[in-house]
Amino acid sequence: MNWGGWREFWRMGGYGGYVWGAYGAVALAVLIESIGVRMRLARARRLARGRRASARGRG
Amino acid sequence: MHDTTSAPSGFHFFHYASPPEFYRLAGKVIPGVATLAAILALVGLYLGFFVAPTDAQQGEAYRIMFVHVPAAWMAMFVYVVMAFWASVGFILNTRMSSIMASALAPTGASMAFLALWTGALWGRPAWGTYWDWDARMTSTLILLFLYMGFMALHSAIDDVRRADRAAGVLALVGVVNVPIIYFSVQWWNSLHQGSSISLGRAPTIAAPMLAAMLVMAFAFWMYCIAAALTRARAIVLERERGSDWVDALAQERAA
Repeated sequence: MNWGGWREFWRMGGYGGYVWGAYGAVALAVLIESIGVRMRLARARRLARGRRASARGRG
Repeated sequence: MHDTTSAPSGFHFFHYASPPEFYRLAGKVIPGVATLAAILALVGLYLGFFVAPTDAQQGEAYRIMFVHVPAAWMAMFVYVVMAFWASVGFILNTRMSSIMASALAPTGASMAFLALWTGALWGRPAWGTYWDWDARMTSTLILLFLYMGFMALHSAIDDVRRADRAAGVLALVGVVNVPIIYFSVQWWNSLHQGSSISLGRAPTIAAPMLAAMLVMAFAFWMYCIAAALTRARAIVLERERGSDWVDALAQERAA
């Protein structure tokens, strides 16, 4: 255990801006990409279903 | 997959190289890989912030290493894997190979960007500058541009098969940049420090720091696999839309 409390933890020995700026960017990138790929997959599935529905409608 | 009659008894690589089989198998693998990535990340963060001690020279700023090094490793590794699949797609003309290359590019670009971003935020407290045009940093920036060039070129060509081939050539040519990044700190005088760990030599960092970095590296690795496979599934559906198997799948899900 390195920290006397949460304040000290967030301060990171005076380097808080650098450390959390780095970890925050990683968290943000992972979050955006995770949501992005799931949405892309969901949209591809929707389009596949939509095509079937329109094919049935025509038939 | 208990239906053994539909599986060819021969070489399984080509079996899983078919888009429907890939789609099915990846769907089974992704949740496990993603969960593993999350668990490893939690363990890595715990080791990195609560077990690894404060660095004698750099204070707490060095903790950026636990995301910087894995991001930089993955940026290079993903590129090599992308170039590998691009070349397989180029030579064998297999659909899944080029899809894998396309699925890896955005994840690799994200890793390259994170390596540069976290490196800048570490460089400022460690060296007094966010950026320097030295060999390591410049070649990593070129890596990011190669990823972006791959994606831009692919999306600029309407015919998908031609886009695969053109972007594949770019990926292959760009692979020479990876050893340049890796060996840049040895070949040129660089502001960037040498490797903390390398084969055949004892690591130059303390054991808990090394453990945190390696666990985070595995977390990043698993994350990249999960992200790229999910994107590959989406691309498979997008490209194979209208084929019998996608229609059958859509019917299955709609029922």
